[in-house]
Amino acid sequence: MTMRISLGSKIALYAFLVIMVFITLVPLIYTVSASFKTNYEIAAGGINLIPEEPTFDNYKTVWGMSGTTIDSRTTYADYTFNSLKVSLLTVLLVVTFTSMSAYCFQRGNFPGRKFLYWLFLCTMFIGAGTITIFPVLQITTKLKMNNQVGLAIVQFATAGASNLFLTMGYMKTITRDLDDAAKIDGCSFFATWWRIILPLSRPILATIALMSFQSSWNNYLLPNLMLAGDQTATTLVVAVVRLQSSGGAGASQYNLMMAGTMLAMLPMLILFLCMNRMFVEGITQGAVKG
Amino acid sequence: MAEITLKGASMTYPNGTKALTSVDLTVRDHEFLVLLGPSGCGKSTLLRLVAGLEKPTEGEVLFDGKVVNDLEPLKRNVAMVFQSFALYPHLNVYKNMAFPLKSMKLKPEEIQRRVEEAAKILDIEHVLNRRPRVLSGGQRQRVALGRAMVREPVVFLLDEPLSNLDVKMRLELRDQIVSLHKRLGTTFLYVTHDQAEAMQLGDRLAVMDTGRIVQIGSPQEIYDHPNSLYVADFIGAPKMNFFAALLRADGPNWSVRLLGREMPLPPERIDQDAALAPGMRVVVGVRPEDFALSRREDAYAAAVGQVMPMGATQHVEAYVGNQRFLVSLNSHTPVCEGDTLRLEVDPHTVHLFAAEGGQNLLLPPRKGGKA
Repeated sequence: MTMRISLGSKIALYAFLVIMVFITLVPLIYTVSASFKTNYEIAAGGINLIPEEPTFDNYKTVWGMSGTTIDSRTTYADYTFNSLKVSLLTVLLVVTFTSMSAYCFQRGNFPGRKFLYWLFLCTMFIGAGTITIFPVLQITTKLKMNNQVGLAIVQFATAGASNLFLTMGYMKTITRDLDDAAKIDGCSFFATWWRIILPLSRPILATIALMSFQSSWNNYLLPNLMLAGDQTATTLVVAVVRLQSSGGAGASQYNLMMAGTMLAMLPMLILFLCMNRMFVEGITQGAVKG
Repeated sequence: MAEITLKGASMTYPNGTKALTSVDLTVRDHEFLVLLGPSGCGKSTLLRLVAGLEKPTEGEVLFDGKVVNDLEPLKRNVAMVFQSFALYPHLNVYKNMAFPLKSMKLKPEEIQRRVEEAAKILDIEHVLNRRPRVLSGGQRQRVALGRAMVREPVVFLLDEPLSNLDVKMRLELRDQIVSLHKRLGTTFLYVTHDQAEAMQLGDRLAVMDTGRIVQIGSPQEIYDHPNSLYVADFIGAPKMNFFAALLRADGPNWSVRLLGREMPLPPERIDQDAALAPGMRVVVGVRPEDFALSRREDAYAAAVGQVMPMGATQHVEAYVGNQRFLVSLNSHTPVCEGDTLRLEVDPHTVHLFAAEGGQNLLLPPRKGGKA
């Protein structure tokens, strides 16, 4: 059934949406535009979106950059690879353990299940970048885990509850008759997860994989602090911010930073475009099914 | 093949819900036994106990005399068909059917042989490469039957397998299940709330009420002689008519007053063990088809209310005074609303229940049962 909307409401609705899209996109458009400008043009100010003298030099410089203040040996490609490593490891941890724990909470029957679940969910409201950053750093330092693996574990753990919540919601829509059928067909509790529930949870797992990849890729605070001891191991976003001061002697290289941002954004953009359908399916399916 | 026995099996769920209370039941080898009852009466729980999906909180489940309470479903070698089909959506039909065989670690060529044979019997060979979601309801349930068949189980457990299908498909699959049982000769335990389905399929029916089995017998036995008011009310479409009455005694002869007339009860059906007493409050049950048109002087004169044509028969709403009841007549009998019908009841066909407790007070009629 479609709702009839009056012309006035339609105009108001479109105006509101246009404003929202504008607010959301302006920083992005500015970044795209600035990445093709010279640093002089950016520093001169102005809000012109079309660069006076468009140039690809920023991209060329950033991609081939080495021997900068970031690190004398590490190139931009290395940072990209670092980000990729950390993000993929985070995704692997998230998908494996979220799926397992959601299955245990949703289908398992063990003492203290509800209490543990609510304890888990409580962490959803605690931001890792604010309240827990100090204890997290202390723990990882004590455990000598201020490295990429440690970073991936912390990123996985801090997003655990919301991923668990989403995955459990999805698993709830998978009929328990399938568990029973699997049991009759000879599956153990673990085998039922592996052979039935895991493959059927693909849409939601793809969604949380994408969300985890994105949040790991864009994370600045944790890698900046946790990987501070090893500049060669740091991630792309941290490196991009440092590009600003790559000119040395306090000269801010905004043009390079913007080109770096664009390059950092590109893999995420491609990933999202490829997985867009699955992502939306995963988010909405749990809500409308069953 | 196996004989399945439940001895004093009770099931109470952790939340305190008592699903089964001390059930004793034997499903004979090769038998097709139908568990019949309304929703929530515990019939599916009973099936789950046999399957090994639940453990009885009290009592025992035995397969061929061996207690299997702690045996996993696979080791019991049971197969189950669910109302929701429970096909694995991410696997094609072939893989769905081969799934239990892989768990049994059979050789690939044996798996292929069994799956193809079952597919041929069930006429689903042409959909082996398709996913369940593109199949019709009937095809899905046939795949589910196939998945059960390939295991060559000792017992088939079917939990309302036809409830999600349209009427035509339901009738078609009903026939297919009957022939499957004949062909395989395996023990079948079938759960349904549909009495027509139960009557057609079962060698025997077990009627359930709130976690207990209240009557077991052949469909005809149960139809002809329900042992309680509950069973009488549940079995039969249209339902049995019930009339409140008082029991009268005239020497050794007993009678009841039905629709204002004295009706003698056949002496051979009087149960000497039943505590009959003059003046006892009883409920007389008469099935709609047991009313017959009559030319007798003392026939009941019934005013006709609504007439409901059903094809071969017609259900006629009849009134004697304020008493309303249903009569089932041949559809060719000319009858209209407002007519007066002259009806009689053969006393041998009536049922008599205690108003308190609901037990049947008469002995079964001497008739041949279902084959």
